Amino acid sequence: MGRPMTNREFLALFEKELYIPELDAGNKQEVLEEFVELLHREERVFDKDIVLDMLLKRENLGSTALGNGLAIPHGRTLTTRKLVVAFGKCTQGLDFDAPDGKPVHLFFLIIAPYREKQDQYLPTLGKIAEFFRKKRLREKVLQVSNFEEFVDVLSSEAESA
Amino acid sequence: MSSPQKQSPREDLRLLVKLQDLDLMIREASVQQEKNLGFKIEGVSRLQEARKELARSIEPRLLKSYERLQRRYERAVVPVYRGVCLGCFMTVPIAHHQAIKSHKTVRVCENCGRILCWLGD
Ligand SMILES: [Zn+2]
Repeated sequence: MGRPMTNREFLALFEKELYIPELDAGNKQEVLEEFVELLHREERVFDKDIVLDMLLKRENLGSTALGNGLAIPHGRTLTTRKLVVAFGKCTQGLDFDAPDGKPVHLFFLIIAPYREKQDQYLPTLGKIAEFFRKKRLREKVLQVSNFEEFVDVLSSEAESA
Repeated sequence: MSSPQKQSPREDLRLLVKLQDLDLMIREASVQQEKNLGFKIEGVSRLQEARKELARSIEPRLLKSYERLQRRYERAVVPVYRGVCLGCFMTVPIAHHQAIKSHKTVRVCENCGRILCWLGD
């Protein structure tokens, strides 16, 4: 499943262009649409419809919500060239069929090509899941209001880990 | 049961890419790596149903050649990037670029036979 990921590599995955301070979406499908729209606008994916279809099918396999207000929609597609990670927050919370039934506030979307040179897809998934198991971190990220603050919170978490 | 309708090569190719993405998802679901990360994987049979449905919508001859290629290679549809087939890494003749780009026909790599898909320059 690829080698473990360092905190530095992990932090380098986040991009200002792919940061959504507050999602407009009102339901599960709209969340995915909003992310895919952004990825397409930023030229990280080449066909919106194919990517959205893939993400919806992945949700059909089992919700990508992990509980505790966190969801990590993800999947591989031919229509991207490199691994991308986008972040979006929903302060109000949104039903995403989470295993604990709680609304989701923090969304990390991961899109990966079939296989990268150093396949960082599963390590990235694992790292986000591991980081956000901590309640304190989830609460902090929920308070951030811009990308710089978001990265600061993640960096200080990485340093203290 | 829906039967495949005549659709444009561009649409045929998009359906084929969807099918390939889905085939990979089904393969990866069965090795359960994600389960170990805490994700619930419970709908494999739903995906297999969706796969059947999707396959039915694809032009039969194209589907056949996709399935034949898949038995031979890990991926049947590959991107062309900077003029190179990303399946075999051979240069695709410049004379073919426009046809592949426009997706007016479904083209295969002259060297490896994989189905080519243009992903932007
Ligand atoms: Zn080739």
